[in-house]
Amino acid sequence: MTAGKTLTVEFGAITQDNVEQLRKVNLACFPVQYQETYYKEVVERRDEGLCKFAYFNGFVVGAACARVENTEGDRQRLYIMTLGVLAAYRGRNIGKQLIQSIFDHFEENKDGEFSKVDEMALHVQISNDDAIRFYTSRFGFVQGEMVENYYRRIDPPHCYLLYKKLR
Amino acid sequence: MPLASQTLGTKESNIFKNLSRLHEKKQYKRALRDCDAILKVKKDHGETLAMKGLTYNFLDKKKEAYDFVTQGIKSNMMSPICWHVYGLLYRSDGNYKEAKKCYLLAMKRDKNNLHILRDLALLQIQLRDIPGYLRTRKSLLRLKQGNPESWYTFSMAWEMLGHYSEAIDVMTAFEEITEASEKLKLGKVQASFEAGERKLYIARLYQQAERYQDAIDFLDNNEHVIVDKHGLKVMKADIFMKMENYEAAKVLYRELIDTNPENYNFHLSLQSAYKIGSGLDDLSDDQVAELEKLYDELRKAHPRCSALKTIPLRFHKVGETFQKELNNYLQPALRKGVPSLFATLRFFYENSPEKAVVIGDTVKSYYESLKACEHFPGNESEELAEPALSLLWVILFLAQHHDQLGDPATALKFIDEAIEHTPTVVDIYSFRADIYQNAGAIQKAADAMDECRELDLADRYLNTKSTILSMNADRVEKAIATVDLFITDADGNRVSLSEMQCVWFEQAATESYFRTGDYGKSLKKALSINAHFEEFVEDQFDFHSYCMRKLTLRAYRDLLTFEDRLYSHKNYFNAACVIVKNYLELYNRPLKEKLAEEIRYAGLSGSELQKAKNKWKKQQRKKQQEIEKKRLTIEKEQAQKKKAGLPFDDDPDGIALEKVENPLNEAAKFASSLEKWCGDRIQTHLLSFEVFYNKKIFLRALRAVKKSLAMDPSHYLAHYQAIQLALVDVSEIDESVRSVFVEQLKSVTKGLSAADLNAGFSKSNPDSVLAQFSVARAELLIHPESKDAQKDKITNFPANTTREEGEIILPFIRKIYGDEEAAIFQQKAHEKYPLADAFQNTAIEPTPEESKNE
Repeated sequence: MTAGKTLTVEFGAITQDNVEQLRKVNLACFPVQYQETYYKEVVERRDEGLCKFAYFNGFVVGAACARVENTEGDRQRLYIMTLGVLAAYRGRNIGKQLIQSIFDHFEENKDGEFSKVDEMALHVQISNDDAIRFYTSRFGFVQGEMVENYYRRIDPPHCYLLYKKLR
Repeated sequence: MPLASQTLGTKESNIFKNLSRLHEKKQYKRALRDCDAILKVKKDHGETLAMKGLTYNFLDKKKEAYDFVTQGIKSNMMSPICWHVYGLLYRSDGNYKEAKKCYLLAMKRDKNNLHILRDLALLQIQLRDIPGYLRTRKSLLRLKQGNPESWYTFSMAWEMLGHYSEAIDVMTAFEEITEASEKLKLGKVQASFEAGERKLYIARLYQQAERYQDAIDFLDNNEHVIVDKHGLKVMKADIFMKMENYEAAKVLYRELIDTNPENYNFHLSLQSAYKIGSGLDDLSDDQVAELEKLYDELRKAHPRCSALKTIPLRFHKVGETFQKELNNYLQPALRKGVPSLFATLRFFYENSPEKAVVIGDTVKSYYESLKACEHFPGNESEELAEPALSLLWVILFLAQHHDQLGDPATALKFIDEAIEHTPTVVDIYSFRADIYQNAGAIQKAADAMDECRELDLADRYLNTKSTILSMNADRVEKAIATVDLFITDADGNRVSLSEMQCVWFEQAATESYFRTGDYGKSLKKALSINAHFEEFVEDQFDFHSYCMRKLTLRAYRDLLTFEDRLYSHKNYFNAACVIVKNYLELYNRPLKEKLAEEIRYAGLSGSELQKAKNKWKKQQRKKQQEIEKKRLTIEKEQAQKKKAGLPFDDDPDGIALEKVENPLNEAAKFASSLEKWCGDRIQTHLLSFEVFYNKKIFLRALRAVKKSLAMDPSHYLAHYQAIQLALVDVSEIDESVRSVFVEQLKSVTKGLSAADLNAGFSKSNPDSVLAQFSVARAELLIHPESKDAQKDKITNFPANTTREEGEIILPFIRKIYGDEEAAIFQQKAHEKYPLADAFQNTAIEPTPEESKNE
């Protein structure tokens, strides 16, 4: 595949009406199947800043879903639940645009909604070198501890925690 | 001489005169009090009694209304007012015939009453009593010469009778009067909507009278007055075509295309002006060059117009230019992702197979090239790669391409590839549903479309298509639940689809119910569609006055023509056909049940037979109890609704309709209507035959067959029907028409015996699968003992049998030769058409209905 030029995408909300498209993206991108509770939560939260589709030419080619989680003390972190780009559209900086948009959203609200957020984090299967490289070299994430048997049905079942301090 | 008891004193007379004004202000209680005040003084005053009745009519108290009005007439039969009011009552109830009678009587008693004349005119035009309408309009014109409406409608009446010169004379006279006065006041005739409409209407009259030069001259002289410049141009262009003045027409169509280059009609008209037929395939090189020059010019003027890209594909012959034009059209569209791209080129698949091959090969080459190097062929050196989405649309185009060519298996492979590539594109799943539908896999189509719908629940189109496909798959509850999502508001109130005259839904439902043998419900829906058409006729009533107020003369005239031909509309045709089929089934049901009974008890006797009969009776009793229980619940529901003043329906499941005494009579009504209005469709006559043959009205059956054969002499069913007639025992026919029948029959049979007629048909249609099947089936009629001998011919599955033909033949095999033979035929059909539901080895049951309250 020839080295891609950026395909500029637009973002759009994930709603009750189009959540089925999120299922299609996740099914195509991930080896795990997500529970109904995950989709229900994403739809109910209706937070376009953290959960969004990436559209190219009016069609969904990727999606990212993040949420705010409580950590120790009174602090919080932005946790990336899923980030997926359909195979045919990879290598075009779409994943980058999605993550960047979440960073930007944090910057815009770091003293308001996200005043208690200190870091961004996600889990990555230990065999997924592409993803690990994507987060560490592009966005300065740090590879943290390994969590054993995080996954139930895939092999290897372990994953790393990747994180980045935001303050 | 008015009777003493019928004249009023000054005081009462004034009260009486005020009554109409009270009606206008809707002060009905006051009106009633006033009427009673007069009646206190003159208790038999007919006209007051009538007005009292009219007031009750406004209050929707019909019984009192008619009572008082008839009393009024009894007291004063000579009063025009009484009869006028009586007419108003009938009209408000939609009984136009009776209303007209009353108005005519009223008019006799007062020839110059404007109210009566105007109301009468409205009724006459509604009922299309044009000669009467003409007379009334003439009277109105005489009485109100200053009212333009009088002139327009009088002229229109002449025109509707085909008397164009008289119509033109009327309009010319009116023009002279109005324009003279205008010129006096303003020094010239002003341009205005009314004046413009008048001019264009007059020009149309000249056209209808075939006075084309007069029409053109008139339009030219009056151009400055006409406001609808576009309409003027279209009219002149059409007139030039009729005059065969092609040069003038060309200029105008060229201008019209500039106003709207996407209007295909203008392009077709322009081609006619170039004396090129719509075929566009057999053009001389000169003609192609001429058109090419023209379209290059047009394209420079309208670079983004898509019609200008597809039309040149029609007139260029296959070759280098065609290929170039094709690339210019396809590539930007594929890049953009135009879902309807294939549909815009379907024309070639249906009319120019050679070009269809080129299109297919071209898109295949795109596919190869994009997969190899992410570029369209010829663009390999470009820096920017083709975005990945382009490949998706190429894949989808190829899916549709193979579907069109009757290769659903390959089409579905491409669909799978598309899903792999970008599973979020809604159109992929919609096309998949189409492919299944075309392959006869109705259940799968419904599933596929529902999956599609889920991707975007806010899309009304997907919801509609999903509803229709669910109905096609006989999943009625699912269909209703689906469409519910878009017709229920936040408070849970459902819009009534029949009130909204939602014919697409009702038609899909009626066909589904018919397929599953639910004749009551099917009739209910189909008759609802019939009722809509009756409403369409009713609804035009208000337009007679409205259009004259708005002076939209041409549009009004077109509305009348539309209403005249209303019942020729496809929607009515489809509904009426289902109605006839339903009644035919109801007619045949007792016989079918008897046959089923024989099969059920075949080979049984004595106590076994008794046991079987008892079991069956028990089952039926249980079934009837359930139906009765359901009916009582529905009755209760509807009674509650009625009490609450809500719209209710006495018989929502059509149970009463199913029990109709004489289904054939009902069928005959609709068959006659179909013959009258949809006589250009062969299905009309094929159905009509069934009705009249069963009614033993053989002359009409013969007429139907003659019409069918005139339209298609090789039609398999028409031939079978002809044989049926040839075998009729003429002693069954009434003596008075027997000889006519025998004589007329000769024009169909050409004097041949049934056997010879059958043989002749077989010889003339050696390659037609259905024709040969029909011949074999007819042979069974002629020689019933030849059942075994004909078996091979009937159960034969020639290699060129289409899926539809197989679906027609299969049920007959089952009926005549039983399940085993049917299974053999089904297997052969299944090998050729593995996707078709009709040929699946295990019976395809509709997916179990999901409960609404999930």
